[in-house]
Order: sequence, then structure tokens, then C-alpha cells
Amino acid sequence: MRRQVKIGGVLRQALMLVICAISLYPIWFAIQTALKTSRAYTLNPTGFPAHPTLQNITNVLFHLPVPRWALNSALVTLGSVGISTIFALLAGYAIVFGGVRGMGFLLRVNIGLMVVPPVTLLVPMFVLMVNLGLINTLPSVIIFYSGLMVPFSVFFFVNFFRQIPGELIEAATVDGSGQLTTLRRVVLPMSFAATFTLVIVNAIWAWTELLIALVFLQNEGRLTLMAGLTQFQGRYTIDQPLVLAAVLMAIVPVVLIYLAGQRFFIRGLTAGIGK
Amino acid sequence: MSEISIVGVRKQFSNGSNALDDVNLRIEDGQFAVLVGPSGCGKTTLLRIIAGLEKPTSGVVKIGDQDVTQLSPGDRDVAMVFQNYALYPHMTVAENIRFGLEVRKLPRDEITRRTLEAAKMLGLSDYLDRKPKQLSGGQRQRVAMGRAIVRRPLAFLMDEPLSNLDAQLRVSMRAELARLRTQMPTTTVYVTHDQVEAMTLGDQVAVLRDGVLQQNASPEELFERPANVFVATFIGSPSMNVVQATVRGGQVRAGELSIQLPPVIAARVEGREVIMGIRPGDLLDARQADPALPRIEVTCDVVEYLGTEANVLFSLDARQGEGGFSGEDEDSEHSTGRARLTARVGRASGIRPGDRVPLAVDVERLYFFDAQTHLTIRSPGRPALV
Repeated sequence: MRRQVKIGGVLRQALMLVICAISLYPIWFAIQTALKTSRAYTLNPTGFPAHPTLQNITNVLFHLPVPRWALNSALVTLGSVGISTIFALLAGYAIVFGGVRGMGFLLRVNIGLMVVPPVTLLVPMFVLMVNLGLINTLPSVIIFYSGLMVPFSVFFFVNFFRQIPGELIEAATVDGSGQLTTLRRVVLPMSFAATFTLVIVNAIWAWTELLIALVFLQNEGRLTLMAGLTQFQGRYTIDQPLVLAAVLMAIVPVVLIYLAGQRFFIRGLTAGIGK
Repeated sequence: MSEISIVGVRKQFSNGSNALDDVNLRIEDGQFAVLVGPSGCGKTTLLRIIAGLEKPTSGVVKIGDQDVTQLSPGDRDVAMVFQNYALYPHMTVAENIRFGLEVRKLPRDEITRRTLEAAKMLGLSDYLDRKPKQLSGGQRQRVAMGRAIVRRPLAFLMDEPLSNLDAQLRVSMRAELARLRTQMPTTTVYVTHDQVEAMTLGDQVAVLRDGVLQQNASPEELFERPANVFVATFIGSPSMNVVQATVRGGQVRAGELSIQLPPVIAARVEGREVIMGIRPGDLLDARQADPALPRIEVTCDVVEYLGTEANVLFSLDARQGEGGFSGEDEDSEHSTGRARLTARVGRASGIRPGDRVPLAVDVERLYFFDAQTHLTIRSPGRPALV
């Protein structure tokens, strides 16, 4: 019996190691490729670099517009995540605690919006941005991203806020607290983990989005990082080590944010599953 | 002046159910009023209407001289203690207490002074930096009280504040509340389903049933002179015994039971179908009672030993009185077709289940209610017992 349990444990650990290795391999591949020259990569794409070089990373940081693209990405991400989070917080609060008729209908409409594929909005949004004179500017992408993030964000906040006892809001109301003060001083601090989770999920999506950025941003100086990476691809060739060096630079901010807030992220994802 | 007036308040919910029906109530300045009644009677709804958390379908709520019916809760200057305390979990005890003062933008010194004062009054001075989850149930309850006290409002509204505490703590917190009352004689409306709390704390007690105010009176008045069968059976523990009865020739008959009434009482109920009520304490162990009192002999079903005394439960071949508070036992009472009664006897009675027990009936303490309206049959010029 004990032997069976032991073998089971070993098998489970082995399986997890395999899954871990599969998950981490792309990162390892990116790192070791970024440390190779183009020639070394062609000769041996998967092997450990015989003569590691930082040339690709230096090129990415100092000789190519990658920092500019990263700044654009940061602006787009901060702008869209900021706008959508504030909007969703207010909407979620109003739906759950507003006590106004018709909020249930609003929520159903919101859920309907969640299933609209972004690609179907591409052409009308493009026309709209042209008419507004915003095409090829970062605000065009920020507005589009915000609009796409809001439905899920509202849904997320509504579900979280429903777990907050209504008496807390009522207690604040009786104490003389206005709606915005109650949101800021009572609801928001209690929703920190959920808000952080949503910000991370939306930020990762905005940071890595490609299609909308490619269509709406056309000048090299206004590209986001993901759209910029496509510039490395020639018609017949692609400099893989250089691309992967840029990819490494692209994932660093996301990984850092995640690691800094991992505790809240897990708590936010599991919020409400138990008492 | 912070008297509270409820005038013709009705509340109908969107599903069509009537929570309150034409409730009129006046709570004098500095009075401790208790709203009591069984679950779903509308007591919490009435409290929430006073607080402004619910709007009445019609009627007026006044605090002092001001009509506050349309005012938001924050503008009514009332403080509320919730059933589950509603403490902000991310704030410390001090932050919880001072929150109401901060949002009202009082000077910082004043906030600190009042917070410390309230904490001292409630014995929370050592816990000011703790979060609610680090406190016991009783301490949390005191923080909730502190949050209300520190505001110095026109009125306190309390929604079953002791119901989440265990029995012993509830008793000590009840005493604490009574002590606080003497220190802060602010008008208070207190909701509870526990009639012991209602009787021990209230200057006046309003009994509600199905959204209708049954009686609003002092605890003594409610106990001694209940307005109807419901109040009579709801107030008092164990409940008043009620049976359907007929009075003929000076004798009250309820099934197998027959008791000769004193002429002065019999005159008022002669020839009527009535509901007869008698409190368990007025059914006496015949061996120790006045020999002049009429006797009945019953078979004991159950004995509830309470230490200083014992409840003897028995049944009679008579119909249970209608219109009374029957708790959760309503179905079983009617299904057996026999009235269930309780007598409270001394602990030394030695009565056991199955024993034939002679009981003396204190006829001076009999209550009579109209069989149709369920209202107390009072005698002209004699407001006490009929």
C-alpha cells in the first residue's frame, strides 16, 4: 500500500516536471537564441550558444527604435487599462450598489458585448478614427482597447462586488459617506486583489495585442512594441536572434509586474470561491 | 429634540408583498423603543425606513420636527448598528470608529478626542490598532457600537445587534447596553425578535405582526394588559396558554376543562365564545396553592427542568386558541386536535412525565379574548386584567 502511494507520488512529481519543462522551454529558447549570432543560430538553432554574445540585446536597446516602441506600448497599456478600470469600477459599483432600476438590463447588454469578436469592429472603428482624425495616433488604439476591455472588466467587478456585504455600503451611507467616497474608502480597498488581477490581465492583453495596433498605427515612430517586432521580418529572411532579444525585452515588464503582485493575483483569481 | 414619529407608513415591495401596513408610532426624545415580532413581521423594514435605507410606499417619518421621509440616510443624523456589525474589514478599530466623523469632515483633533473617548467608554482602548478579524464577537459588537456612539447622532438605530453572539455573551452585552443607555440617553430604536431583550431594554415595546403594529406600550403594560391574543402569547416565556372556550352560567368551559369564575369576571364574558388565556406561572402546583382556587387534573407529557423551577407540559381535550403566536409549532398543534399547555411549577414538585398532576388555576389572572377579533375583552373602568 505504502509502496503504491510512493510510486504514485513519484509519477505525479515527474509529470509536473515534464509540464514545467514544456512551459519553460520557450523562454529558454528565447534566451539562448538571443545570445547567439545569426550565423550561430542557423548552424545550431536549439543548442547552447558556443560563444554567447550580447550584441543582439545591445542592438535592440541602443540601435533600433525598440525603446520608443516600448514607451508607446507602455502609454497605450497604461491609458487603456487606466480608462477601462476606472470606467468598469464605476459601472460595476452602480450596477451592484446603485439601487437604480434597469441595471440588470445594462448588465445583460454588457455580457452581450463580451462575445463580440474585436475583428468585426476593426473596419467601423478604423472609419471612425479616420473621421475623428485620430488614425495613426496612440489615442485611437487606447480608445479601441478600452472599449474592448470594459465589458469583461464590468462583468468581473460586478461578480466581485456582489460578494461584498451590502451592509458595509449601507453603514457608510448612514455614516454620511457619498457614493464616490464609499467606492474609494470602502469598496476599493476591499477589492484591491480583484482590481490588481484585472489590471494584470488587461495589461498583458494590451501589451501583447498586435492586430489593432498594426492596422491603426502606421508610422514607425508610433508603433507599439508588438507591432514593431513585425518590422524585423523581411520578405525572405528573419533575424531570429534579434527578434528573440526584442521579445525578451518585451516580456520583462510583464514578468516583473506579475512577480511583484503574484500574491494578489492568485487571491484575485480565487476570490469568492470559498467563505 | 429627537423624538421620532412614524405616521401612516406603508411599505409594499416590488413583488407585491406588504411589509408594513399603516404603522403609526411615536418615540419620545431619549426613549429606548424596541420593535419586536417574529421573523418577517416588518420590524427591520421599519427600522430601515427610519434610517432612510428604504423608502416607504406612503407615510411620513419625522425626526424631531423635521420630515425626513425624502432625505438620504446621511442627512438624517442617525447612526445604525447592523446585525452583522458591518465593520470595514480593511480598517483598524480606530479607523472604523472615526470613519463617520472623517466623512463629515470634523476637525482632526475633535475626531481623535471623540474616538479615544468612545474607545475608553467601550473598553476598546487596547484594541485600536487591530483589524476586525483579530477581535472576538463581543469586541466587534462593541466596535460597531463605538462607531455609532462617536457620531453623537439624534438617534441610534440597532438591528438585532446581539443576535450573532452566544447566549452568555448576549446577556453580558445586554447589561452593557443598559449601562451605556444611562450614560447616553439618546433616542434609540432597537429591533429584536427576542422578547427577553425587548422587555429588559425597552422603555416602550412595539409588537409587530405581518406588518401591522399590534401594540406599543411599556414592557409591564404589554405583559399585564396585552391588546390581543398575539401580543399575549408573544410576550412572556413560556408563552401564555390559550384555548377556545365558552362561558355559560358563570363557568368557563374549554373541552374537558370547566372552571367556576368569580362573579365579577363572569359578568363581563357571560354567554360569549372566547379565547381563554392563562400564563404558565398562574397554573400552580395544587399541593402548595391556596385551597380556595379551582383545581384541574392533567397528565404530564414532558417536564422541562430549568434549575430554580420546571415547566410541565400537558395537553387538554380542547381547541387551541386561535390568533396567537405559535412559533414553529403551528402545524403540530392543529394536527393533534388537542390544546397544548404549560404550567410553571417549583423545582421541588417532583413531577415526572406520565404523572397525574393537580393544578390550581389563579382565576384572577385569567385573560379573555374575543373569539372572532382576538382582541382582549376589557372591562369598563378596569384596565388591568379582565
